[in-house]
Amino acid sequence: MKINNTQIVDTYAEAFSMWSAKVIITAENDYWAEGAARAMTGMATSVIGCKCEAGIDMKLSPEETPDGRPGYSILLFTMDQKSLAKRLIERIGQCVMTCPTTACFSGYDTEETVNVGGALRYFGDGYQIGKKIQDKRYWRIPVFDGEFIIQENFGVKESVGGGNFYILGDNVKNCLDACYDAVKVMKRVANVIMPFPKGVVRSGSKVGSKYKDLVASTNHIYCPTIKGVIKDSAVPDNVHTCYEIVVDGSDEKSVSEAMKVGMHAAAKDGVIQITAGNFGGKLGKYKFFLKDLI
Amino acid sequence: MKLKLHTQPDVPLEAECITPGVINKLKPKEVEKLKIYHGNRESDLADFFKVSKGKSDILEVEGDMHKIKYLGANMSSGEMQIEGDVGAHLGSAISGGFIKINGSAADWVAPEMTGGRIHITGNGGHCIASAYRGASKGVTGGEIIIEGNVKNELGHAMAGSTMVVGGKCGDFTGVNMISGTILTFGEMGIRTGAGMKRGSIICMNNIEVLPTFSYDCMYTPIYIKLLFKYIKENTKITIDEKFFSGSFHRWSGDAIEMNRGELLVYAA
Repeated sequence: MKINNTQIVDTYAEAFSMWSAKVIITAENDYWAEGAARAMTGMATSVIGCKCEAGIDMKLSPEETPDGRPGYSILLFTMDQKSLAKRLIERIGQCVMTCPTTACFSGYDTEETVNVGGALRYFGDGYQIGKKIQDKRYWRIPVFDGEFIIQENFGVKESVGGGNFYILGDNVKNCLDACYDAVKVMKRVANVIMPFPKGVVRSGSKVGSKYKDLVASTNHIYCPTIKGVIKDSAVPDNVHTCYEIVVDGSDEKSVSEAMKVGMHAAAKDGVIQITAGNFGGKLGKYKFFLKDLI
Repeated sequence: MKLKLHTQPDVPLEAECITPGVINKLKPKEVEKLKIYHGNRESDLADFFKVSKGKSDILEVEGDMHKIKYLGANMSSGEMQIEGDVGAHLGSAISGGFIKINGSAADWVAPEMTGGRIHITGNGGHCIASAYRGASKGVTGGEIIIEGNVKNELGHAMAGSTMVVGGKCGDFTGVNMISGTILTFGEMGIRTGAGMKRGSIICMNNIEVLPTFSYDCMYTPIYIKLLFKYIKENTKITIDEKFFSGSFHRWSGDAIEMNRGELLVYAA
């Protein structure tokens, strides 16, 4: 299988079930909304070391936000519903409530919810005010520039984490160019995030390690520098650089779409092969076959 | 089901049974035999209303019903569309569902309301969503939107509802209010928020603030933007664009009570 001159390996990306919340952050202008959005999604590349994965889903125009101000939608993923509530409380409390002029709303309208505003309201020290519009409750917490308003309950849903594909190139420059183009188009797909720096991972991991306390370690078969010393290397002869793009999405369809557009954008001169990470079904229940995406 | 008033009652008619929960379960012939009170005399519903099968589950009621009381009383679900003016006690003790009135309503709309929504496109009378005399608490939930004017004592001792008035309000709006929100767009009468414990009264017109309220600051409450957006999307109340980005004076009160209520008055 090929896209342009790039070989597409007949394999699948193995993804796993996560829980996600969509958070809408608004502010007086884009400068402050972006500041809060970037702070909230900081140090959230992988659940392995960050307890959650988060990223900016979309930039929103005033017409698209609940309070008619500019904003951002953020997706935050954890392994279970309970920890999702904890991470939301921590991150909204420390990164959004602290940012001038912001407000925070749930982006999902799902039946299952977690209580976020209802916990953060206690910061108001008794001066907080609860308000209801139809069936949604909001909390107004007094802060230095007026009030921080936050929705009480945030919708959560079972989602997909760890969708991925690997870009194998003949050198770093070509491979990075391909990653850049891929991430650029993937960002246009709604309800997905690429949580790693600029959407790209160079330290792709496998499940487990030779060291018993480690849950993950370098996916050594894609490390070009040890190609000569390992027997199971997956790096072809003419490949000298590998990168991985990881996609988390609120549903399978969004992840598929993002992978599809990303692979097509990445398949260009200098990209020898596109493959995907799977661990023989040990990791998760979702399988994204590359042949179905081209 | 569709009910159309064919005979104007001589004296007020009490029609608690005209509610989707009662009528939608019955056949038209059974509906015609429902009992209503014409003054102190029991009558059949068919003596005043023509009953026909409607096209949907929405209960449609039509006619000049300014003498008909208790329409939609005790309603807990469903939808009721009323074409014409209605009498007192509309939606009394409503706990759920939606009543839309294309017309005006008389006094005492939704006393003892705990949930549901009422939308009146015309005017409202006195004591809308008010506590009955002697009761310590009034309405505790739900939402009432009145596109026109209302008279005195809107939301007396209300505790948790949302009231929106597109036009003028009489005196004592939100008197003894316990919690909830009143939003008004027109001129206000005197003593707004007198004796309020908590809750918010938001006025787009200047008001005479009682001396027992203390001035806090001028700011832009984001909550109001949410409320405006909701009203804009769900009613015909015209909201001037300047209100969306404008600032409000905040007053806290009433100091003779808990002093935890707020008056938000549009500044500019």
